[in-house]
Amino acid sequence: MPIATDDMLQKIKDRQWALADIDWNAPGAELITDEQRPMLKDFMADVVWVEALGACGFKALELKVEDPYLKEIYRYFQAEEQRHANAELALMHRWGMLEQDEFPEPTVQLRLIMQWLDKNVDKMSLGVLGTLIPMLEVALDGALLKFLLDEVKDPVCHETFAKINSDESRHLAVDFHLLEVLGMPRTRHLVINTVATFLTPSVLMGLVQFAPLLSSTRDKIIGIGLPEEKLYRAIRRFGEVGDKSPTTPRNPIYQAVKYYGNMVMDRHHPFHRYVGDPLVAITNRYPRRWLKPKPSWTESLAYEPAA
Amino acid sequence: MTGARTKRRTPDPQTHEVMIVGAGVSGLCTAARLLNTGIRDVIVLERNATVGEPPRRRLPGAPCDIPSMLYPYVFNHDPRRPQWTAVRPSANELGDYARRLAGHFALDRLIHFDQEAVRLEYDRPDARWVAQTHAGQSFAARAVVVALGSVPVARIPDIPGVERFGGTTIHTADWDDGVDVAGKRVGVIGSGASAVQLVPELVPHAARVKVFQRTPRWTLPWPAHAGAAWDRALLRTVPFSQATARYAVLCAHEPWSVNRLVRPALTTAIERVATAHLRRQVGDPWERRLLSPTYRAGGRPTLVSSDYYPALGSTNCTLLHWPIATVSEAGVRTADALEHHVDVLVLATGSDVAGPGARFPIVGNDGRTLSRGHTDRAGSYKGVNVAGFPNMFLVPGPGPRPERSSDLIYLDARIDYTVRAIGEITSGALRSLDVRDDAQRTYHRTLRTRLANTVWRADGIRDGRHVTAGGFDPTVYPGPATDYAAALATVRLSDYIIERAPARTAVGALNGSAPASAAGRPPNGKG
Repeated sequence: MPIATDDMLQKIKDRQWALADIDWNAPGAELITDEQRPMLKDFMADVVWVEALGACGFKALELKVEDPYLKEIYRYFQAEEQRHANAELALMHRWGMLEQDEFPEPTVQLRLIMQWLDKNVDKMSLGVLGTLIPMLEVALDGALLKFLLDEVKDPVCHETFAKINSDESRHLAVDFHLLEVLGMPRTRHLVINTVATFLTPSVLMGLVQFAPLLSSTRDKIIGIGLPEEKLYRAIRRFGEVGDKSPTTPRNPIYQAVKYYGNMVMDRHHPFHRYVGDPLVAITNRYPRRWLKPKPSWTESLAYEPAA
Repeated sequence: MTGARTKRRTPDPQTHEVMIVGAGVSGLCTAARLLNTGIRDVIVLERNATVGEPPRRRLPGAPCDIPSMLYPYVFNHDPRRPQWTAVRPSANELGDYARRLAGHFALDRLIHFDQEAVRLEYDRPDARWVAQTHAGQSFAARAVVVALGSVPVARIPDIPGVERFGGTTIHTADWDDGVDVAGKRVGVIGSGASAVQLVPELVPHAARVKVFQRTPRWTLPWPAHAGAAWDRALLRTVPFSQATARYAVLCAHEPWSVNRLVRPALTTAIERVATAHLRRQVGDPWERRLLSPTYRAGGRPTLVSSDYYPALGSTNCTLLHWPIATVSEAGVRTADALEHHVDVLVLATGSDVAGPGARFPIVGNDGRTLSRGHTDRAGSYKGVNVAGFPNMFLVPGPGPRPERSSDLIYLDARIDYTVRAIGEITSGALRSLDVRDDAQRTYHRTLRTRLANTVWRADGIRDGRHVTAGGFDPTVYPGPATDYAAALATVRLSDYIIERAPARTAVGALNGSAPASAAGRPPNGKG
């Protein structure tokens, strides 16, 4: 279902919101139990950084797409991902999980991805970015955030995530629109593109580095009590929505990403025993001092409504 | 009718041959060239008390767009050719030139100072133009040259809530020297020529500066501020350096005007230099990414500044690339959900170069008023004449304007054309010279067709630029400036409706004693 990108842009512009729209001191923060707190802090920190990485991804998409409206839409989406990260940061502060001016520390897996993205994101093809990003968003939106709302009773959290989810629904609509467009070229072109994509060393390196992030995040989520089945269903939704379109399934990159997603979510897949788990183990022992300094955009996150 | 009433109120002014509105560089140059061709009965109306006063509202800092660097070279082949002391001169230098021009040709005697025109109207029965001034006087001449310079009209950005802002809002095109930014939080919306010029001036004084960027621009290095010592020395000592500098600057600005075979190489060269400049001045890779343009060089005016990037890097300056969601009472809300509180909001969102008529009404045949809308719709003839406004010449006029091209060639060509056409009027004893509607339409249509095939349409120029409803940018000439000059080299009388003076004498017509045309008087506007 291709969308009218100009209408979508207008809709996005009309639905902007700000941290100042939410009363961060409203009652309800005490509904977080002490038992939840440490786990939730870990989880929220990951979510904040994944959103921030999403912003980077959208920046790359903005540079890649041709349609001027789509370009502008992705300019907004970057900011919106940043907005979600800011809002989640504000929630963490509200729940007393962070000291004044403290930023949650990204995990090593996140740092590696950050480092990789910084160097390679502009080299990635539109096909890879346009396929990978929706998959991650579906997982984030469909499973994590809904789960969070089931577990957390704070009304401000619900208010915030209602806004975030309505943004995400637009993101998904545009994501699937792009997927559909990506599946339109002639078969020959699709095949050439795919082969070229997977012959790129940076893409292969990226896939290897993404695996431990996905695996560890997945395990963390299962660890805090999200039923495995829910997560699996969320990832499957990516394939279900994509397969409905007449053109999306024609794109081999899409098929590959779909397969990859299903594989990572399925704990019984041999992938975990031979690739995923060893990589998580290795990266967990990765010396932090080998990491390059955090890119400067990480400092642009903020939780105060007024800057 | 009303026309008669006006006449009764003010004594009938003497009709001169040529009246020039505006004693700026272009006005004085026109006057000088008219004198040179033997047309002596010229008057100039000037709103200031002296020649060469700097513009009333001037943005602090050195101009960063290339046209402003080219500007001073205008009229280089004039008898008193100015010796510019720097490739990038200050505004005063321009004033100096105007003064020197006035002195050399003794133009002061032609100028009526303190006469700001408030209305210009064609008096059809007498075939003359009558100007009313603020001082209550009127002046008349057979031909009128409107040389008001390019009056910038602030382009207000399409951002919701701009009018709601509680602090001081100021537009760069309408700068007020009285604004004090010392110790204040300043937000600058825009990152084009005016922002690049202004931000380095704001940063040392303001407490905080936040620059809200939409499109990063190709920026070439330019050492220090106006008139760096080496720059002066170079121009003074090295032969042909003026010409070389001028040509280099012109090429950098109009890469599309150079040979098709050389063009890609030139565009790439500009991009390389600009990228190297960015790498040298901005250390942080992410910041560099935000500042890297995504269009091919030449798609928008290339800027020159060596102060902008360092200013952005100051501790009290932040570059924000998020889209602006809305402006609130306290400041600017960006789409990343933060509200940036500011005391002063600077709209550096550019300006439209208004055609004449923006400041006061110009009324032609049949009550037609000249306005931007009119010239955008109907176009103009070679950017100098407009149908329905006989004997009127626009120097900076509608149509292709120098915003994206070199003033040098455009203005020069227009002034030459104007002088030649006025020569035709006086020597041929013509009553009036009015562009034929169909000639103007043909010209306009050709421009549109050619423009459709240029980089201006192809590249991301559409967003935010002044493109009229039909997707046509009336300010762009779809070819090299030299092409434009060539098109203006001859006056094609067949493109004009010519009213000849009655057989008696030209002087008779000149004094308005023989209303030859029986056509109805122009209904007056209410002004």
